[in-house]
Formats: sequence, structure tokens, C-alpha cells
Amino acid sequence: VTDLPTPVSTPTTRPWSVSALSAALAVVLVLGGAWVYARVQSAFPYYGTAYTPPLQAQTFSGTVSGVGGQPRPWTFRPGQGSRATALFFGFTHCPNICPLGLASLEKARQALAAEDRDIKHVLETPGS
Amino acid sequence: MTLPADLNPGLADLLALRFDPLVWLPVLAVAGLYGGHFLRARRSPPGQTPWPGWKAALFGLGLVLLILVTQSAATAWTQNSMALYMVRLMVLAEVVPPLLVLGLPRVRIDPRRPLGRVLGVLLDPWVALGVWTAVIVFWNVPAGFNASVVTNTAAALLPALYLLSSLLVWAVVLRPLPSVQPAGIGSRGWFGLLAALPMMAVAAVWLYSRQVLYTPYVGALCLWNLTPLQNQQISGWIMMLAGLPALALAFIQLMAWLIELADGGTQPPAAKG
Repeated sequence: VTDLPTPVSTPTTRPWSVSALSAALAVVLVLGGAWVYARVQSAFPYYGTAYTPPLQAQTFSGTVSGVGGQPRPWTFRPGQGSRATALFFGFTHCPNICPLGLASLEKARQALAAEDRDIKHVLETPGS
Repeated sequence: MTLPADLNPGLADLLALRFDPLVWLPVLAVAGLYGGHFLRARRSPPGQTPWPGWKAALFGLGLVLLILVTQSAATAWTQNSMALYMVRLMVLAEVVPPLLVLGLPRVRIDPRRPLGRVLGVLLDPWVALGVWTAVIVFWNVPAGFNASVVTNTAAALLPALYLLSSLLVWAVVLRPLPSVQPAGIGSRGWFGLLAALPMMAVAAVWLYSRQVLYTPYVGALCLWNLTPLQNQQISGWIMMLAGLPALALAFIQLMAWLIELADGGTQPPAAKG
């Protein structure tokens, strides 16, 4: 390098063991920092999107297929009393993402008190 | 993350800007700081501070691209196109960092002072390689990648980590601060070669996999009428092509190192490029 003035002092190459230790420490700090950041942001940082402040879901009505395939009216009324309500839409034949979603939902359900558990499942048959 | 209704967006739809102060304000602060120092340096007597205009242009281009990939409407289609997501990540990892690093002025930092010591550790090739490999591996195994697609927390984290770790890698390769970076051209060539491997390995897996590896994309409604598997394969191509310039630079540095070794100091100083 010709356009640099004479350095105050030249950098020294550190031993490889010190460099390797610094690298291990940096990896722990980066991954640990990411984990702490995620935990501070949300109690379930890897399962869905947290809306702050929470959004109020709307009541809606429709027709669902009951026992024997007979249609029957159905109304979704979220948050009866002070309860939080989860609504899950899934397919009856869905080998991949539905079990993953249900497993996440089950974790959230276990974290709630028994009287607060209000999870409604709507299962759809592809092609219906 | 809301599902956009239009699955055939054009370039103008994708590049429509949004405003997140947590991104815009730091970028504007960095741009202001850089611009202020640049203008002051340009007013100083000629030859005193080598800070050419092309460096400022590259730095500015890097910041504009950073804003485009993090603050454009393209971020709303992440769940509908793995390929679009990968274009954004690769611009963050392989285009923005070299532009920013090339735009840095040549400054002299005393390696014995605290700033010099910190930069000396951060720009140690071992540290940069370790952090880069950890970020690439962790965020491309299904658990990490899935989280970055479906959650707002990890969705912000992954691009930030890609940018920061890639900045370290490109700073080691391009050596903008020789006063705290003792690594010669040979060791930087080997470093570049090793640093390119994790991304190439991930790209190869995506290219040759016969099934969609990430659950959020398995049944996804994809942009431009592509299937999830096609998206994954295109993402593999994007990642591989994005990694090629860094790989080519590593080979050039290794060749220069070999020529230096072969010369063995026998060439007169005037003949050394």
C-alpha cells in the first residue's frame, strides 16, 4: 500500500489458538445474543407472529359439516369472558404443516390455565 | 405478516417503499456521518486525505440497496416466494457488504488503542469465518429458516445477522484497514475459499433436493405461478450465483499469492505490481 502514511505501529499476528478461542467466543455471543433478543421480543419467538397490542378478532358465522355430513350453522365468538381464543384452520389430509401447527398450538394450550383454554378447530377436506 | 392478494406483482409493486424508523434512522445517521466526513475531507488540501468520489458513490449505492431489500414491499411476499426471499438475502450478504467496505476511506488506526484492538479481533479471519459459518448453518437448517419465514421476531433477526456477518467476511477479504489487519493476500485467499463453502453447500442441497425442505413453503401459494419445489431450486441457483464473485476473488488472491511465492523476492521493486 503506497498511499498510506507510516503506521503508528504495525499489527501483530496473534497465535492461532487465541484466534480460534476468539472465534468460538464470537459464535457463542452471536447465537446467544440472537436467542436472548428473540426471547425478549416474544415468549414464543419461533412459533407465529406476536401482535402488540393484540388485535381483536371479529365474530363471524357460517355453515359447517356436522355428523353425517349434514350442514349446520356455526358462529365464531372469540374471547368469551376474559379468555383468549385460538382458531385453527387445517386440512383433514395434511401430512406436513398441519401437525407442526397443531403441535405449536398444543404448547400454547398447555401454558394456559384449564378454564382459559378455548381452541376451536376447523378441518377442511381438500376439494370440498 | 399478511397475505397479499396479488400473486403476480411487478417490479414497481415489489419496490414500493415502507417506513420502519428502526431501519431508516440508523441508515440515515450512517449516511449523514459518512457524508459529513467526506465533504470535510474533500475541502482539505489535495493529497492529504485520499478519499476519492467513487468510494462515496459505492458507499451510497450500498445504503440504497440496503434500504430497498429491507424496506420495500417485497418483504410482504416472503411467505409466497422463497426465490424472492433469497434474492433479498443474497443482496444483503453478497452485494451490500462489498459496496460498503469498498466505500470506506483509508484511515490509520493504532492497533494498540481500544478501537484498534476491538477491530483487530472482529476482523480476525478466524472470528469472521466462525460467525459467518454459524449464521449460514443455523439459519438454513429447517428450524431456523422456518422461524425466519413465519415469525416477525426471527424475520427481522435473520437479515440483520446476514448483513453483519457478511460485512465481517468482506472486510477480511478486502482489507480496508491494513493498520489493524495483518493478514497477507495468501491467507485472505484461503479464507475467502473456506468462507464460500457453507453457502455453496446449502445451494447444492437446494438444487438437487427432490422435495421441499421447509414446511412453510410446502403448501404455499407461490408468486408467478411457480411451484414450491421450483422456488427452492431457483433459490439454489440464486445462492450459488451470488457466491461466485467472492469465490472468484478468492482464487485470484490465491493466484497472486502463488506468483508472489514463485517470485520469492527475486523481482526488482519496480517490477512488482
